[in-house]
Amino acid sequence: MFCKVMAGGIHGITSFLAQVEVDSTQAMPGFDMVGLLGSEVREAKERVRVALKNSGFQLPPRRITVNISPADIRKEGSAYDLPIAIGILVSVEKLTEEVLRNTLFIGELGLNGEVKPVKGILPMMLMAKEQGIKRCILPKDNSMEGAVVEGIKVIGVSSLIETLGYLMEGEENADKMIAPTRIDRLSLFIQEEEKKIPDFADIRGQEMVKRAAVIAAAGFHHLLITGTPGAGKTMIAKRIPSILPPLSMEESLEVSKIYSVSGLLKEGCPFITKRPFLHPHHTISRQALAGGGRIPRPGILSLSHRGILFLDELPEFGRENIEVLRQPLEDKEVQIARNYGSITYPADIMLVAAMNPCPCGFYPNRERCTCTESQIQKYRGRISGPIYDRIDICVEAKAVELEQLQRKEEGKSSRELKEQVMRARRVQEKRYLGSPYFFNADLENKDIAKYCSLGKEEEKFMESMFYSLNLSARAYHRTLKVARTIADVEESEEIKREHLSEAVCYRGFEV
Amino acid sequence: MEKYYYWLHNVSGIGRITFNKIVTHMTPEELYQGNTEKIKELLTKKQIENIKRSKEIWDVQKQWELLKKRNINLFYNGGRGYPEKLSVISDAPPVLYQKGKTEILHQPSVAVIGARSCSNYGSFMAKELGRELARIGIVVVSGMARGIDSICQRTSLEYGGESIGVLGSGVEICYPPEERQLFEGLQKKGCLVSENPPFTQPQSGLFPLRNRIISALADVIVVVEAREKSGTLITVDMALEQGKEVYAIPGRTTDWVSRGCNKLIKQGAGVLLSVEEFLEEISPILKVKYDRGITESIGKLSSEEKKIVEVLDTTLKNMEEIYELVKQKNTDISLPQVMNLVMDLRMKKIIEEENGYYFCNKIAVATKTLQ
Repeated sequence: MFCKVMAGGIHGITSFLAQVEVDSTQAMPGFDMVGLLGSEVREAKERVRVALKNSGFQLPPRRITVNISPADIRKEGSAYDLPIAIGILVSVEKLTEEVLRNTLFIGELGLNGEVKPVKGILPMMLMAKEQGIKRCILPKDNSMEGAVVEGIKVIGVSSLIETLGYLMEGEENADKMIAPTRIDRLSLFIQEEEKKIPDFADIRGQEMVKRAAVIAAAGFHHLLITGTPGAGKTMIAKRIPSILPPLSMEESLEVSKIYSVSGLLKEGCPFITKRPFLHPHHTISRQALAGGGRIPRPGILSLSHRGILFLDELPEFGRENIEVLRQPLEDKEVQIARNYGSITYPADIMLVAAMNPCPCGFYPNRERCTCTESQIQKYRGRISGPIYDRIDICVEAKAVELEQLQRKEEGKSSRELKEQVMRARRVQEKRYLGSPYFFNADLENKDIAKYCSLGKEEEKFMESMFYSLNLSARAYHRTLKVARTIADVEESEEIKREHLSEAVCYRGFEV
Repeated sequence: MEKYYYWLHNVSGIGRITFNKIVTHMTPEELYQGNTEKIKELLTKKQIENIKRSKEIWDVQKQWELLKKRNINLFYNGGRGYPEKLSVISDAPPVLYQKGKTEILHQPSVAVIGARSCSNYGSFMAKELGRELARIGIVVVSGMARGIDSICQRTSLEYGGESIGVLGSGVEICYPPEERQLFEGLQKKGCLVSENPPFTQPQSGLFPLRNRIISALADVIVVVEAREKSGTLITVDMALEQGKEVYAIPGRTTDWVSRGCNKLIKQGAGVLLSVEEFLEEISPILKVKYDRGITESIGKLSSEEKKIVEVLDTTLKNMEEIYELVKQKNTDISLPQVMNLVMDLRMKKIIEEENGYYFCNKIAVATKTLQ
């Protein structure tokens, strides 16, 4: 008998509907699988046969053929085990074909018949919803993740026998046997809020860097912090997540999809509710940064999507690694090309980088710094102009003096600063309604004039400032974008003179 | 005549001393024509052999034309065009290669020398000197090294002045390589000078030697910043030997880079307290007229602006430090306000900026705002 089981395949961070077709005929006994299968899927043959046997089903002596369509897309991963097993049982008439209707099967099998978790549940569920699938049977460990997508009945199973028991019961009894998994998405967000993250109140002084951090977070501008060793660059960077605007539901799903295909969603945390903050060590490889591998996987850049990628000691990452950032910072996505097709991973990140002002770290203190001008230039030159170009805000952190540390007063707390960020966020939301932009930093040059228009007087001021400070043309747009965010933080409709001159202060050194 | 000097100077194994020995007895032309008898006892066998060999491979006329094509001039000690200032020193270079304007070798000049890794104060003073010297048309002599040397020479050229770069390498080799722009500028608006053949690569041994040419070509020497043991102080020793006037710019006693200068002052060097005063003092030596330029008035500063200027000096400070210092003066001022004031002052050129750090010369500001 012939039957078709629905399964989900993963390509990049999207999923496609795969049909597992199983046929059994009276012929020379055998078991064959076709359909452009990756090695994990080919190995499913053995897993399924033994799992069936150990669950109490002896395969009848028939010729069984399995095809997974569409046959021109390469199938990877272990999520096909369960649909194949179910397909075989239906084709040898242990189960009725009725059970397959409107149902998606996902799961890996162990030899003893247990159902193990797989990667990429979230994209598969989103695909299932699009396809109008009503019910999904998936590994119990993945059931929370699956339940994130509303409108589909999610059944978490832990073994093949349990699955069969469930399928053989009538609809009502079955739900009593295994209750469909449900989660409350909102409560997860609220739980997240309460988790303790480092607070800006711990930092004394450093007003300038804090201010820059607020502006960067408000407009999602890339930020570069320079400073002597021990100035607290890392400390500050680690506190930026505490002032970022929260993830919206759509953003959260986008991020969760990436984590889902990477298998990084933890149990009890079925989807990502706060902006990612990743800080890889500088020995990272290019593939790990951008994504890659024979079977492409998202890199750190994509895992920081809608969040912060913090690169401490930026020049130490090496020119090659840093250059990798160029295209993703511009296009907000990473494209990985392989001979069987290219995959696009989103990578809309806020880059926060920290570096020393010179190789020894103490410039401009000539008592301690003996670096020559050319050494300093060389050190800064490890980061190319195009990268500096994309970083809107540069700021310097200075080692705090003892006296300042001893002062009792606390710095501004994250709560206060976040309030400022949220204010600016709301203004931007309103302004960019119906446009492709989310944040001021996203603005493309052609639209800058539209959204960052200056009054006559301000325009004159900007011109004279550029002339007298000898600024480059490329600094012009950056300054405008940053000034727009400063105005938003200050709740000013127009960009004023003081916003412009503050923005110029953040331009840092020009290479 | 010069072409034979060029030949002899390029014979391997003939150094400065041997060269001088030979030319006291005969001209290189005579030597080239074949008469080696007279000086046989002066030279080693190997040197004679080298001279013979080089006669065979060195086409005097062709080589000379190649040199001319590169616009390089050659002056020999005692010949036409050789600077008199140079010929009077005890260890005068027998041959001088030169590229660029020739007349400035004979004009009144001041050598500005100093540390390679200079402080901001040093670079500021070097700029001031370069600018003022350019304004009154005095040639700046220096070694085109990183730091003080190149900063002063660059500024001088920028303000339309003339400058002589005395190189340790040949005049066709740009060292340090990052000073390519200055190297080209000197060829056009000033000149380059070296005692080594045009394509000599920089070697550490050559630099102390070229220092004697710097001090010889200058009438007055100013040391901007120097560590206690430095090449700069070698130049000063040479200058004193040659009987030149030496000035030093005093610095803070705690600064490493000012140690050398302060020590010179202790030993009796002239003290440069302001560029204007210095130029008034040396103008009789240089036989030039000096009158102070008119400083542009920029009007009075507001009380807030004054507070910012008060906390600044010629050391580099970043915005955070300025803010902290202003706040310590018990003023209720916010960070964005400070940033605004600093940028305003920066546009008025009262505050200057380097690599994102700010500094200011208060005395200059005082004179600017007084009028």
